[in-house]
Amino acid sequence: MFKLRLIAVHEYKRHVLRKRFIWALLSVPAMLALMVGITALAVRMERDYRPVGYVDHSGMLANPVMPPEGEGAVEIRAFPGEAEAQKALQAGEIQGYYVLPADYVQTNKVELVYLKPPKSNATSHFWDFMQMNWLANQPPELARRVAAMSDDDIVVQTPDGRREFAAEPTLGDLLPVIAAVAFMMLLGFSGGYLVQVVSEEKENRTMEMLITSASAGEFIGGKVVGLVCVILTQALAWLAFAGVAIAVAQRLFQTPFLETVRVDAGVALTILAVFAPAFVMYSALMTALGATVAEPQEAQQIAGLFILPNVVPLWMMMTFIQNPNGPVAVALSLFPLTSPISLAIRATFGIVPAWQAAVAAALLVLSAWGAVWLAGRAFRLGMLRYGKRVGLAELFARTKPAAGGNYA
Amino acid sequence: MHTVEVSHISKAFGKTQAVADVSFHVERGEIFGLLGPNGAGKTTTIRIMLDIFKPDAGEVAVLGGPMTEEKKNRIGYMPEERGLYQDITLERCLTYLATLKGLPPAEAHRRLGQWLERFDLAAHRAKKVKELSKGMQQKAQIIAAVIHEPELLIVDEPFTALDPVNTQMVKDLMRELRDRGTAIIMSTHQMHQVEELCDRILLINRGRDVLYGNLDDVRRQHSGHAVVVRAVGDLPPLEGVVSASRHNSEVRLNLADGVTPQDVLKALVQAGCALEKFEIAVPSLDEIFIRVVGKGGE
Repeated sequence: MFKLRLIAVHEYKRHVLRKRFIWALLSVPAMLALMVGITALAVRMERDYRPVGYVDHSGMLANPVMPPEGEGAVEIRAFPGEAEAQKALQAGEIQGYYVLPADYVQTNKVELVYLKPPKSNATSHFWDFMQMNWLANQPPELARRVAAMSDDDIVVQTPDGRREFAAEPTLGDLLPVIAAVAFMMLLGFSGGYLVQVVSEEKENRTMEMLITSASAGEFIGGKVVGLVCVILTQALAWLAFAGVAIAVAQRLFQTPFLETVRVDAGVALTILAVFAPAFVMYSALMTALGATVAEPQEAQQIAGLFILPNVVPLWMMMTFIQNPNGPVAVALSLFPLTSPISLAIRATFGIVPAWQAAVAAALLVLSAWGAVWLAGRAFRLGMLRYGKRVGLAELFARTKPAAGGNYA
Repeated sequence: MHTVEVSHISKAFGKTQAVADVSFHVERGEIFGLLGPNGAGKTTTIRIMLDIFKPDAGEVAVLGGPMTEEKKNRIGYMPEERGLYQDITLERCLTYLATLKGLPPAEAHRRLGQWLERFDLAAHRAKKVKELSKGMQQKAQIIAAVIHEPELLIVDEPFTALDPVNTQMVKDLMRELRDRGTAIIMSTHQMHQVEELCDRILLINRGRDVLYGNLDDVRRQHSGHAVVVRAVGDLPPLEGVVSASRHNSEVRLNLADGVTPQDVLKALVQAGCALEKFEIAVPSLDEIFIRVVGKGGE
């Protein structure tokens, strides 16, 4: 165990101190900052907080009721006549002004006067104002509810009431899918690195030194543990960056999408139960790959294939959404190579039966164990086979691992 | 108890018999030369000893029994192909390898400081391994093999890439380790180094042991029926000498069957020849190597 820890710490430090890792780590916050920045800029360009005015010839707004202040609200300024309003418009004090004719209540027609079209936040706020005044004769509570009503109020609930999905989902609803994408990104960054490291150790003969200092189990175990720690570091760092980005974005935009980041406990447990062994499984498979190929370049090329099984559920997303408990969805959820992403997608759009999550997790644990065994065997077979690759048939043949080495 | 006891080991890779019925032992406090032409089976033999390969037949006992994980900490190994992490600093690389051999980090660090000083590498400790010259990497590899003070040291071509000064430094180190009781197995093609350092040798050819024993005994066994003479002036005609060949100021006299070196010496003295040198011709290890391997190859 001591040597396993040593190897794990060494691998961890070797990885996290590389420029490549630092860049990968910073790329996400940089991307988030860029997204937040561009969005903030776009929003700012779409906003104008100067007042809008109105001239009421209908008498409807004799005792105006102001709408609640919210994001994008502007001052709504009453003018006694069009001349005063025009003067304010020319002076740039207001974005524009509405003229309510004497027959407004009958015709429901208004005139908007402007030099440049007012921004959407101003027009939207003015219509909220009009809505409030149309409802002015109603009980205040009713007026408020009618004013606040929109399509967003439609919420789809699972029969047991555990999951809800609104017409405009929040970040919390989409977290399983976001976790799935993060899983793939982490696998892409770190898995490729592991393949590279093992194949390089084979190529530059470091392996021969290591295997006379530690057992194959310690070697493989240390590498996998080290890599999982690297992945956790990356995931936690990204999570922290994402948290900061959400807080900043929420403060800037106050959008409902960011309001709820709550995740259902069952979903969180399912993701944890399948993603953890899945990382170990993929890490071990990549170690096996690194030990069996002839050259690091070849390993890098083949490593990309490990991403493919994770992409399949994304291709099938529409099938999952239409029939989340159909045979395709269930089969892909139970097949170890596709189950992490499949379960995450299904958990986003519905309830995954507990037995399926449990079976998938159990299969992944078994697969992870098998992958570590396979990696150990591939390592023993391939570690001293310089410039040659180990065939699949050989990998699974019932021969002594030591029979695969080179000789001199 | 021998430090290493190899009994009748064989190993085949497919149809190629890499090692066939090889036996030898290595004792504490000796330098043992493992010799042979390229592809003879030396590296396979070493890897079997280190339990990297399992033999098809035969047995290996290292440090008193089969190889265990615990024993790996008592063995130092320098493979022929150098295996150091290229993209980390020399200090970090060697500290890691030392701790893998069971040294606590603080102790590994302390010892490493001493070794780096001794091998003139202290100024390069913060450099990446790939920035070091081949000779420096070779010395670093030697440090990795000895820093944990192993009871058994296996070195494969230890003098590659070393200049004469560093070669001498490594030779001194090997003698020092031998005197402290370390069993050293050295595989090399440099026969003059073997003659200078090794106590006993094993010559493997085509996977089989063809020469084994004390270095002096081996050379004596392969000495021809000849003497080497250097005299003032020309040598007189001698009975019992089949042929003579001159090498600089020395003459090699090949003797007829039944004629002893003593007979020749007696005849020379009686002839009043002023002798500067008279010795039984012993072949160099190079000559023995070529003779034995050449014969095996015929």
